[in-house]
Amino acid sequence: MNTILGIVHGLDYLLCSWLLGMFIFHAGIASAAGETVSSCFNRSRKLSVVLTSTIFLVSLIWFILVAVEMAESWNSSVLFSVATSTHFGHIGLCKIGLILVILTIALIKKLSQFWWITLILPLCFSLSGHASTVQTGTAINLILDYIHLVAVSIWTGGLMTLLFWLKTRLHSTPNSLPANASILVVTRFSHFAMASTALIGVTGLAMALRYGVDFASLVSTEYGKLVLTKFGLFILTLSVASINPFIHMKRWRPDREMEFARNVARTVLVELVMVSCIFIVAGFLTRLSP
Amino acid sequence: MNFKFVFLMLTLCPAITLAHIDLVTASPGKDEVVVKPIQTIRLKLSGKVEPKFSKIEVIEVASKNRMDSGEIVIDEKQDALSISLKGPLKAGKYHVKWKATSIDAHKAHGEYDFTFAPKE
Repeated sequence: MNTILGIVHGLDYLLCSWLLGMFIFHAGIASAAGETVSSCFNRSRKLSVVLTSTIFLVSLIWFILVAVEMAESWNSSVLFSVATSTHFGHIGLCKIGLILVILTIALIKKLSQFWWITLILPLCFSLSGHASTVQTGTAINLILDYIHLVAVSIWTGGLMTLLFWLKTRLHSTPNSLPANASILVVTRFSHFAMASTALIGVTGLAMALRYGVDFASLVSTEYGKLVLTKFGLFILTLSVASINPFIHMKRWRPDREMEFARNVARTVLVELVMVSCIFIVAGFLTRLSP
Repeated sequence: MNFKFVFLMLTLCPAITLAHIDLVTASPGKDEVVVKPIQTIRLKLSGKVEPKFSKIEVIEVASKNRMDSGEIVIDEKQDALSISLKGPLKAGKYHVKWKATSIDAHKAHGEYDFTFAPKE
C-alpha cells in the first residue's frame, strides 16, 4: 500500500506543480517574446484541460487511498467519516473542489483572467501535509512550506512549459514571433528558475533547521537511502540545468535561433525527466518512516 | 563535510524529521511501577492527531481483560490522547497498545508495559 501511495502522491504533487508552473510561465515568462498573456493561455487551453482533468482523477485516487489507509476499511460510511470529520478529509475535499473550479475556468476560456486561483493549490498540500501537524510555529511552517511548493512549481512546471514552447517554436512559421524569441524566453525563464531554486534552498534549509536533521538515518535506513537518491538526482539536475546558461545561451546567434531552441529543448527534456524522478522519490519519502 | 554539502543536505532533508508523529511521553510510562491508583492513561505525541482514528488499549496481562473505557479524549492542543480506566486497577502488570493517526494522515503505533504495585 505504501508503494502505491508513494507513487500516487508523487504524481499528484508533480502534476499540480506542472499546472501552476505552466500558468506562471504563461503569465510572466512567455510575454518576453512579445506574446500576450491571453494568447498564451488560449494556445495551451487543451493541455490545461487535459492536465487539470488528470489532476482531478489522481487527487481523487489519492484521497480515496489515504482515506482507506486511515480507516483500515473500504466501508463507505467509515470513508465518509474520514472525509467529513478529519483535517485531511476537509482539506482533501477543498482541494478536489478547487481543481473542479480550475477545470471549469479552463473550459469557459477564462484562464488568462483567473489563472491565479491555482496559487491556492499548493496551500492545500501545505495544509494537509507535515507542516500542519507540528505544534509550535504552525503559521511559519505553513508559510515556508507554501513558498517552497510554489518555487518548486515555478521550476518544474516552467521546465515542462518551456519544453512545449520550444517545440512549438521549432515548428512555427519564422515570422510568427521575433527572430530572437527563444533567447528572450529562455533568458527570462533562467531568471525565474534561479530565483526559485534559491527559494527552494532557503526555505528547505529553514524548515530543516526548525525541525532538526537526523544525518545518522541517511545510510542506515531505506528512507535515508531514498534521501540520498533524491540528493544525487538533484545534483545531477543542477549540473544539467547549468548547461543552458553556461553553454547554449552564450553560443546563441541570430542566424542559429532554431539550433539554439533544439539544443535547449534537449537539455530541458533531460532536466524534466530528472525532476520527475525527484518527485516520485519525494512522494515515497513522505510515506516512509525514517 | 563542507558547508555546501551541509547546505544541500539540509535543503533536501526536511522530510526526514517532518515525516511522522511519535510518542513523546506516556503516563504511566514504559516499565514504570505505579504505586498510587490511577484513573487514566495519557500519551503525549509529537504532533496533532485525529481522535477518531487513534486508540489506546489497556490490557491486564494476567487475565487478558481490557481495562480501558474505550473512549479516547484529546486535549486542546490536539497532541495528547488519554483514556479513562473502567475501574480501579488490581495489582499486577498491564500492557498498553496505542495507535495514532496524525492530521496529515500518517500513522504511528506502539506498545509498552507498566506495573501497578500499590503501597499497602
